[in-house]
Amino acid sequence: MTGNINSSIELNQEKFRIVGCENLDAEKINRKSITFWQDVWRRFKSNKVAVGAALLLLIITLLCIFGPYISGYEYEVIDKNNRNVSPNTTYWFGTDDMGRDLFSRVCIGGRISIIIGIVCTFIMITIGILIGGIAGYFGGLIDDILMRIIEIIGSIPRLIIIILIQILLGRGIFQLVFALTIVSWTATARLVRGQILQLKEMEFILAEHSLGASPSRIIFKHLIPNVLGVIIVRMTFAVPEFIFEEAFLSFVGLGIQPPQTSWGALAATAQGNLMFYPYQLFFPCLFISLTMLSFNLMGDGLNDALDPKLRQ
Amino acid sequence: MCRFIFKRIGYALLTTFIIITLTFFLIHSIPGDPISPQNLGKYLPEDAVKAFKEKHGLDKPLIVQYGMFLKRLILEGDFGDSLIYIGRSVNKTIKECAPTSAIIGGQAIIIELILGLLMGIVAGFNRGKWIDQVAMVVVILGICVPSFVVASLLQYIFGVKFNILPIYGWGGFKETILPSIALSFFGIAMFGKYMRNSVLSVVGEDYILTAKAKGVSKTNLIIKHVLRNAIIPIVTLFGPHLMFIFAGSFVIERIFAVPGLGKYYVDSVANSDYTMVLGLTILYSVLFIFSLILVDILYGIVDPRIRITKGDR
Amino acid sequence: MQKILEVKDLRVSFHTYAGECQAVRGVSFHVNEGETLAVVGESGCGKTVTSKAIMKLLPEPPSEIKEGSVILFKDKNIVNMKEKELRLLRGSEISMIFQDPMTSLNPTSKTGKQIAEGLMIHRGMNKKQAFEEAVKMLETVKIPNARKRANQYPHEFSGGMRQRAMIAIALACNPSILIADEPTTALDVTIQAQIMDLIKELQKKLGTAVILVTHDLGVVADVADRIQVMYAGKIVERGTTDEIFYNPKHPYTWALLRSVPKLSTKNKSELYSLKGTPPDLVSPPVGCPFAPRCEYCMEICEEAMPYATEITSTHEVSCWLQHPMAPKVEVPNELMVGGEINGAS
Repeated sequence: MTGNINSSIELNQEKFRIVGCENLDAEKINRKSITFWQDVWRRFKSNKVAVGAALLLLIITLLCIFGPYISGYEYEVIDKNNRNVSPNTTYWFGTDDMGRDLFSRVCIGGRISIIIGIVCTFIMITIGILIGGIAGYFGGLIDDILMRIIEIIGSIPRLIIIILIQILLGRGIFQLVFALTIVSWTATARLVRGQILQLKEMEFILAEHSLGASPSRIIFKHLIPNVLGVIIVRMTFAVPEFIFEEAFLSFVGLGIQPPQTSWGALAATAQGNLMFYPYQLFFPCLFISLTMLSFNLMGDGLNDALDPKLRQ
Repeated sequence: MCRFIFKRIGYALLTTFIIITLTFFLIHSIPGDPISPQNLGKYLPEDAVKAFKEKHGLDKPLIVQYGMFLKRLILEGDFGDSLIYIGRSVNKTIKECAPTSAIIGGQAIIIELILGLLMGIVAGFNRGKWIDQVAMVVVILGICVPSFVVASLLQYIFGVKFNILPIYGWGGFKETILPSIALSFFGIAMFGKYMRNSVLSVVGEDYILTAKAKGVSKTNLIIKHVLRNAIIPIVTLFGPHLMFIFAGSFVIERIFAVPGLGKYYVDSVANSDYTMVLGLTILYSVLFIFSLILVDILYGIVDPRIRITKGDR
Repeated sequence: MQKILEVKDLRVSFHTYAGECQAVRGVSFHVNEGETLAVVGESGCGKTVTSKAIMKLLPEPPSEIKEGSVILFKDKNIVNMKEKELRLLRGSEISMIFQDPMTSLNPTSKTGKQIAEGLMIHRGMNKKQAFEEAVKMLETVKIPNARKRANQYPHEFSGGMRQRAMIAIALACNPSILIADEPTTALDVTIQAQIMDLIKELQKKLGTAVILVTHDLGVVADVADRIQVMYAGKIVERGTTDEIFYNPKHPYTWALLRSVPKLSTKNKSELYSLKGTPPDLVSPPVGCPFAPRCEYCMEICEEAMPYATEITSTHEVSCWLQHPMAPKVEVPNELMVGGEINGAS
């Protein structure tokens, strides 16, 4: 209550005329209205770490696609005269114990690893959305049955199912994708179901219902856009998980089989030569780690950008 | 609470039974057993093959074999014999190898809990400071660098460069150090990450303010009010985490040439030693399923709110 | 009456990404022994920040109690106190009840233990004595089956009972000041009255001074001795309860009074609601903060901060309408019910 009158202000009768607040627009919204996705993009862009991770990912992907053409070496060509060559100007990443160019092999291996990561993610997300959506939207008995199945699958160690399926179907890239996806959709299904159950309770869905909106309108106009954010985040975290699992399985010899190769398989071969040629292990490991890192950092950035609670 | 536990155990037994059955039929439907002409069979005389099949009951119909397997498993706890190593039973393998795996796994879990929780707590209480940032880098590395990379790195640094620790084999405590550290790396990061988040969310709770307004000392505030509540969500991580320890042991035991169950399991899969795969799969599943129940019970002890609500369901 | 707490020129800022948010901008007031002082204002006006600042419960950073702020309690400046001194003060001399009883009790600790904790710290009691005392406290706040209840966890309590337990925690050590921050906002209307009655009764019994922070003038009418109205981090009007209800001077106080629903409203017109939102305190206005929403806004209001005008020795208002040059403004009609200004309750 210590309002000192600013002496520079001259007090006169003029100043004491009531103006009122009628023409003062107290509730004016100053912020320019932008859509949700514009806002997400703006926030993602301002996150330097996430953008850096996305760029790194782009570089790795481009390298995997075009790398073998730049190096000029075929990934499976054996050169008995150039075994275990350390990295130099001709062989950028050196050669392996059969004289194959490691740079080309890392790029080709990366293709397999990244493709497996992406393909598995898409299959997993599709199954997950479908089953989670059905369970959440219809509820009741269908929901109960589906949730029990999910519970049983969830209570078996995931890696063991993958290994069993590979024993049954043999080893190869398709079997691997099948095995990886069959165990992984449950988390997504749970997530989608939870989101839909939560949304179903929301007032705006009730309002739509009472206005006579058709189920398809509710699903496409409200449920999917609202679940989309969560799913995109889930996807960015799923890709590195699959890459990791593929690498893991290939490393113990249960994943990709020669002559095909992947980062995990490359690391497994190089592991035996660790004592003498550590560079052979270094490059595939570096690429796995960098890819996982950039996916995770990008996922964190997307998560922050998509969180409506953080919107300002 | 008791009813809840019994119900969970009932479910667990049912799940175990389903897993046993599924695994059994899956494995026996694989075309070509190890003794078939495509595999070992081509090196053996026909009589030997026949004798082998009779001994293992492989000549009987599948359903009979299943019955025999179940009977032996339930009555005698016998998983059968290895198909590859003559005279080696699955039970003997478990008895010999399980302790090895348990030592490494147990040490890894202890390291994870101590380092991970400590890191999470320190980072959570020092949010935004340098120590928090260091912890976040460790977390990101732990999650992004696969365990086999960590293991190789450790081998290279401690074995090849400095030569202070054995990098292969099994024997005394020294041999367990590197495998345990390699196995715990992911867990440190994971526990650290979740503990930090948990501490941060508890610190912001109203009841912490209430405690402060009571004049509780800082140590008591951290231990009795913050940590007591922050540990609750961490308990639920234990169950799923055991799976990572199992899976990690597959790779770590291989890299460090540790004669544990994980290495045996991978080898039996690679060698198509089906009875061994079957037995170990069941063992892993049962361990996992019952560890989930243990976590549920633990959760009920840690969180008083669960004791009532879950029992009603 | 003895002044027990005196706040002088309290200024509190929060350092946010957007800049320095000046939540409390130079607030001065005092609390007398055993009286009830109500601090009224809408959300974001700085009333909760003020009350938390008295106990130094604001997290630093992001908050900062500015240089020159003084909070005198028994001749000691709380602002300069060390953590150790503060601990002795909190809970034993000054305690606090929070808004949401659902979240302000520790879910993993038995209720009795939570009450006993303060007693063990400040009264040096052992576990058993403190627990017995906690049971007595639960009886005092009228929780039936106190002994059994003391051994239960907060989730087994209803909302109203939890707030009673909170009151028991706050009053366990018989403090000289109780700060109640919106103690009834999160509760059902029927429970609200019970809790207010309980606070009033215990205050009389124990002789505690109460600072009641609320946004609801209806709640304070029959509880408070004095009322101060806050807006945008400043006190705009203060006076005894009668003065505020029967002779309000500030347009913001009028707006608050007009928005209290009452049965006696003759014309069934719509309930008055104040338009607009309080100003952004990252860049507070130079003039009167209420000017943009004020029906009686004058040019001067936008240009300079009004100073405090004393109406009586207890009644003060900061408004340019009190200036001799200002036009005479009548109190809005709705506040005049049956020839008398809207009365308490």
